[in-house]
Amino acid sequence: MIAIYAVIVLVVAGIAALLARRHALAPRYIALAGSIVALAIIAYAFLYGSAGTYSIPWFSIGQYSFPIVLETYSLNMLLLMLVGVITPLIFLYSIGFMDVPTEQGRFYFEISVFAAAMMLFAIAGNLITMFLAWEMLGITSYLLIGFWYYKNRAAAAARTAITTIIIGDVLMLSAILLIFSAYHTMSFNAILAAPYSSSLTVAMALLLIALFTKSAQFPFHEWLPDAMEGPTPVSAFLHSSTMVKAGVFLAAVLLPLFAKAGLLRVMLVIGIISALLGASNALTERHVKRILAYSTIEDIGLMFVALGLNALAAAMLFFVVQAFYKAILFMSAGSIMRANNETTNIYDLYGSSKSKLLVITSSIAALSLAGIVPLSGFFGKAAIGTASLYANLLVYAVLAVIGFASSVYIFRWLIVPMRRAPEGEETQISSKYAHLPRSMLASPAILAVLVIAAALLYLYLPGYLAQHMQGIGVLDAATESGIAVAGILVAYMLFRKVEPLAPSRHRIAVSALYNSLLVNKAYALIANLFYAIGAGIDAIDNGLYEAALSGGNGVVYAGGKLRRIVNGQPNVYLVAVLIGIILLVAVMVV
Amino acid sequence: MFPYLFAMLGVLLAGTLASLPFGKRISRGIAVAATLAVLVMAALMLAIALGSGSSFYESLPYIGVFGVSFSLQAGMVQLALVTMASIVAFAAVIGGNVESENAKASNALVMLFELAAIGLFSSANFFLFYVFWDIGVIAGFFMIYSLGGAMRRVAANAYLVYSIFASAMLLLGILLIYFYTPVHTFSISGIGAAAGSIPIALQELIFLSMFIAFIVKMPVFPLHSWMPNAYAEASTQGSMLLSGVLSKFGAYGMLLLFSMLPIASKVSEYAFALAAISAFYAAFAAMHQSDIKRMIGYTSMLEGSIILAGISALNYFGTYGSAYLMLAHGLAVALLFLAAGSIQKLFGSTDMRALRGIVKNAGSTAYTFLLGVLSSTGMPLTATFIADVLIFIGTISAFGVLGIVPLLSIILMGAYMYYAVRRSFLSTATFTQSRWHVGVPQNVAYAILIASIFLFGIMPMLLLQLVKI
Amino acid sequence: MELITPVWAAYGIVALAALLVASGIAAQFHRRKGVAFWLSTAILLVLAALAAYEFAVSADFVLFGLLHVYAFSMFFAVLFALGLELVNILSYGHSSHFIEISTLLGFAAVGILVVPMAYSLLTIIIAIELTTVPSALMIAIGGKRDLEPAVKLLLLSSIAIAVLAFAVSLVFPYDMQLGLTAIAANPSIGGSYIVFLSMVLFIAALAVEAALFPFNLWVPDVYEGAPGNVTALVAGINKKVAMVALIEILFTVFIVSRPAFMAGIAVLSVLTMFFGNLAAMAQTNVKRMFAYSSISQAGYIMVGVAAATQYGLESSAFQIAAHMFMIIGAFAIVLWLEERNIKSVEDYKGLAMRNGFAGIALTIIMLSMAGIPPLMGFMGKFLLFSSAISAGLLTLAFIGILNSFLSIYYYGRLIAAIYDRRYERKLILDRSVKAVVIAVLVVIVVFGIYPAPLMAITITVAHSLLGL
Repeated sequence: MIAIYAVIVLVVAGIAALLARRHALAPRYIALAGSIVALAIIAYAFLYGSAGTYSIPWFSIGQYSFPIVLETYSLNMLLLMLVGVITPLIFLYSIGFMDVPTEQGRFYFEISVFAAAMMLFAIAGNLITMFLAWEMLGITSYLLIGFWYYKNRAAAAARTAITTIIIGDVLMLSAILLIFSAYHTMSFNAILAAPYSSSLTVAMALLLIALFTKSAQFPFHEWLPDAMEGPTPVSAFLHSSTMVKAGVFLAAVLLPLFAKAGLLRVMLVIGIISALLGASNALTERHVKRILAYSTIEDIGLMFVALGLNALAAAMLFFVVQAFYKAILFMSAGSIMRANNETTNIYDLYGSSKSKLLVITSSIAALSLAGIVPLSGFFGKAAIGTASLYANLLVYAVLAVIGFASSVYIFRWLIVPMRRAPEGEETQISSKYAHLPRSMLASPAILAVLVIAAALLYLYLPGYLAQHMQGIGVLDAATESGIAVAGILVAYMLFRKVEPLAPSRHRIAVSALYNSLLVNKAYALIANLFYAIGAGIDAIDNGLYEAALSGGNGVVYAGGKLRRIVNGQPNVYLVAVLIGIILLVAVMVV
Repeated sequence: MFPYLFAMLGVLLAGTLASLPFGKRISRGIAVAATLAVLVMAALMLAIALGSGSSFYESLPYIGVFGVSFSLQAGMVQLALVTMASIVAFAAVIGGNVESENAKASNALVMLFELAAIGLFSSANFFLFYVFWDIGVIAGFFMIYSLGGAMRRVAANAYLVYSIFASAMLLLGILLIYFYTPVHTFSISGIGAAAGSIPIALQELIFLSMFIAFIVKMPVFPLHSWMPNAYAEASTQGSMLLSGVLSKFGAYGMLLLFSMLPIASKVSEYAFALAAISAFYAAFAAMHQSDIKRMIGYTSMLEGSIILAGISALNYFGTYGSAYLMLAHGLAVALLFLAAGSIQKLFGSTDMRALRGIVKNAGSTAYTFLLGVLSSTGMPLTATFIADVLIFIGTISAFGVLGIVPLLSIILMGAYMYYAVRRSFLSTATFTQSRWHVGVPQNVAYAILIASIFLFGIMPMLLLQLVKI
Repeated sequence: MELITPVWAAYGIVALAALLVASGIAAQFHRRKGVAFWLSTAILLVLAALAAYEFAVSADFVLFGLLHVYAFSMFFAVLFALGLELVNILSYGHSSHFIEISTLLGFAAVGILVVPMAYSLLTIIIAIELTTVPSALMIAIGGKRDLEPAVKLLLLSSIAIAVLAFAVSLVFPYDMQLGLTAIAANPSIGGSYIVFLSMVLFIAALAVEAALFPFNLWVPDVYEGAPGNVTALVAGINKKVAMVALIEILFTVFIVSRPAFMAGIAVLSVLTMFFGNLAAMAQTNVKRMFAYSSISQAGYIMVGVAAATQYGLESSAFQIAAHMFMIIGAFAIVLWLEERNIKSVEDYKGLAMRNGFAGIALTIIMLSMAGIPPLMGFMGKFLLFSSAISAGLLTLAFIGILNSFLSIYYYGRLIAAIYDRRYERKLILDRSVKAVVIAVLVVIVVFGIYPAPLMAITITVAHSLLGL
């Protein structure tokens, strides 16, 4: 119950930051302080709080009530703790990163509410509370992605994101209401305990689509790379512990229901497709942050694969460890870009080796991503690999390919910007690396420690998860690491020479791997289809109006004709009188 | 007890008449005072109802021959609507028309319109309902015609023709009910009790005529053709009140109709199907609008369709959800039109093809508009969310999984509204230059509406507590 | 001892009517407009007061065997006296021939007042003749241009009188009686084809005067051609007089043939409503538009007659009163604008800016005509349509409501024109028009918002006619 105060503290801090927006420095410290207090509260709750559900009445009608319910089971506390830890680090990084004095208040307000929403999401105990947090996440992420609203691309990216998000929101609400109608309750506990209802399949299918939109899974994944137009701390936050994790987390919470509805296979297939798409695009993308974004799609895809294999513990392990290295990678990307005048093409980025701390932290993160023993990333990936080995060899093979690809692309990402800068720019770039704000380096350093330390998580998994865990054998570890090392070597061979993959030579291969454009075309096609229907309906609408109008004109025209009878000739009038008399007789006799 | 409802009508009538002989500033003062007084009274009524749990009934003898008394009543639904109307009217007076040359006439019309709205929502018999209905129609006509934009003549005439057609159908229905119920009554509760004895064929006729009347006003496909032009061409205050309040005349009437006639249970499926079609129709039609006000108009039609869907569910979730949506949508759409009116004033246009970077020039307006969009798409903590939840639980329990279909239209609407936001509000190097600035009155009006949207979104028990089942 | 008894008051009414004629003739000699005006005003008002007194004490007796003094006749006497006074005021301010008008108005007034009081068919014929001939002369007074409408009115009404006389002659042989109640008491009045034909002719003849389609084609020409004050008289009062005569005859003499005349009147009513409304839609001349609108209003009033119930009669009486005031008010403004050469809908643009009061007044009057609450015209229509439904005439009610909807097109168009933005020089409203319009507005707003008293009165009226 005490955990809710963390949410409140952050919201209050956010509002305070907004109110203090006239001061150049106040908002950042207010937000940072708020996040640290929130972390303290969460840590206290994590250590001393008891598991259970707490209900706050919200509204009711008739015999049905819709309370705000919070629950603090281990899964909830896991995510809450994760968000709690990442939040202050993101804010710390932002101190250095967000140096535009006029936008401080807005930034810290939006990002604090964003973090608070994710915390609320973590402890939501019923569907309506979850949806509340879910929507807050969606809206704040929209605002954050479009933070640089005056940049055309940022605005476009925000719109792509919100379009995907709103699909998810509406489907989610639909699913929630269907579930409520079936069970007359919104509480997770009650729903999980209830017997299966046949109408659940539709609801869970809708819910799954909603989860895919939020977690950027095929075919709703393209908003995530576009979201890179947001400020880097937002990217780091979005991809590590919040937003995209929301979908996975809810899938984990409701996994038994998905299993009952027979949707695990769908999760598995979509997870694999997304992971493949993510890896292939990451291999060929050149935007330093978009590479990481595709990598995230791959990571989340792997989590869905694990969930699809009903390997909850493996999924949650990867869920946690992925957060740390992904945050580091984004922060490093931000630092490199900062030193290179916000250039984004990795082939135009230079000299990351100038900053030792930067290289060390980002290497740790990259190794962790690639899955080298004994970094935490290894345990996460190996756990999923093991789970698939027991379940389906084909899946295992595909995962191996993905694993290989991911170590290739991440080392491409790491090695290429390390190159020496061209003559004449070298001194300027080195001095920029030297003058990187301390907070932008401190934050990843702390995270790097966590990446290493999180390996312990495998050993001390929360009890409830550990029961579901299959052991990782030595053979597994060797295979996993071997694949990763092979990938690293390939990357070194390919990209050491600095020349980009020349499009002329590799055109077909590259465009097959880099299918982002194709997906975006498909999106545009669908959007245009809807616009075409809209145009059709609009034409019908105008037709309807014209029809009404011409009907009216017809009546007026008829009136004009009728008026002709009155032509000023008294003899006609007299005839009319006679006709009238005949008419009267006729009517009254009949 | 103090006769709040009569007092509201009295204050508004006095305000309307008193504002006429004076100049611009005094008339504005009178309008602000009158609408504020009404708002305060509405709040007091809500407080009393929450405190004592009682509903309101005030009556004066009127036309004895018909057994028509001047009776006003207010339960949960009526209080919701009266509160909404008084908030919207107050905001409209404060921020809708700050320095227009027609301020005097405009404010008088707002008060007259509010008088009609409060009278209609609280009338206890159909005679008064009809009287206030037509007063509202005429006030709306003048808001479009004499204060509106360039194409106002066409818009106002189409509006008037459709509205009077609706009135005629309504009158027919009311008269049929009166003469074919054995007790010969106009009283809404009395008809509900006696309607069972009306022959089925006649019930169908009554239902059809009144249904037509109400879908014109809501508006719902296929009788909505007056709406886009009317909303787009009316003055800012006019758009706010037409879309926020006048459309609720139809919605409230529909609610009464469905709860009154036993035949409703036989046709509810058709009504629901019409609502679903209308919702998608509106969503798609909205996608082809380049004028912000027209776009809002179609989204408002979509919400009207959802209200109809909720009503057609014929259970208390659907019914009270619809009532709640009437409140929520009234506030949200008034907010959107207020913002659109400011945009019109700021940039001389509401054509989103021409507008760029509004957020840079008019931050408060842009954020307000965004909030309106969020509220329209049913963001939690806004009143619309509560309404959507209730309505669709109702439709699912009435129509099964298909009950969720109208909700999906919100995807299309939301996607297009965000497109508009991206296109005109965010993004660009060349900002459209503003020729005006949003002053304190506008911002106060924004704040009033936004605060109410959140108030009823965060504390829905303010109204739901009054639901008696 | 009472100062005033009903019988004496009735003598007073007769005497005042005579005095009105006398003062009108006298005006030809002293030729003082002021004197003539104030004298006729005083006479009309006192007359109205006396009639109101008769109504209040619910008198019921026959004077000289000719004039029936009872609630029905006294109600219309009051109404028409007030209407005449409005026309009187209007003519005073706007006619260059006020002395002549005054004389003719005196004669017409006698006819107008006698029709509702008539106790025999012959009285009705003579009284109607007495109302139309002076009206035609009033039109003709203006000069050559006004001759054509005058002739048309005269021609058509003389046909009507002829038909009327023929109808009387058909029914007379039955028992050599002309008294209304006496004929009605004759058991052989039902079933005979001769009597039936007589009824048809009565309806036809009075339909000419009451402007029912297809007997009303002369109406637009005359209403448009006549000066506004005379149009107000013809449309506001003469037409109503014919309706009152129709109601009297149908509901006393031919009450046994009720189903037959219900059908006939219903058909006339439907045709009239459609004709009036559709033709009005296509009009651009405002005066002509009001002429057609007044035709359609005649159609509405006939809905109540077609219902042929007590309720229907009440409704018709209510609407007769309502429409008399509305149309006089409308023609007052039209007359005033016509003098400024403002005639077509186009010319009316911006009226509200040029004279706010006239704009608002004409708007309210038209809204009332269109049947928008809370105005008197709405109550009238509401009563009429509900009377049709209560009599089981659903279709008639539906058509009536439909027509009421159609009418909003042309009223709305004119209202829209009035509120158009156009800046031109202001127009000054003169006293007589202002007085008439204010009086009309007071009536239609007060009885629109609080119709109960007038409804109670109309109930008494219907009761007294039906002998209940």
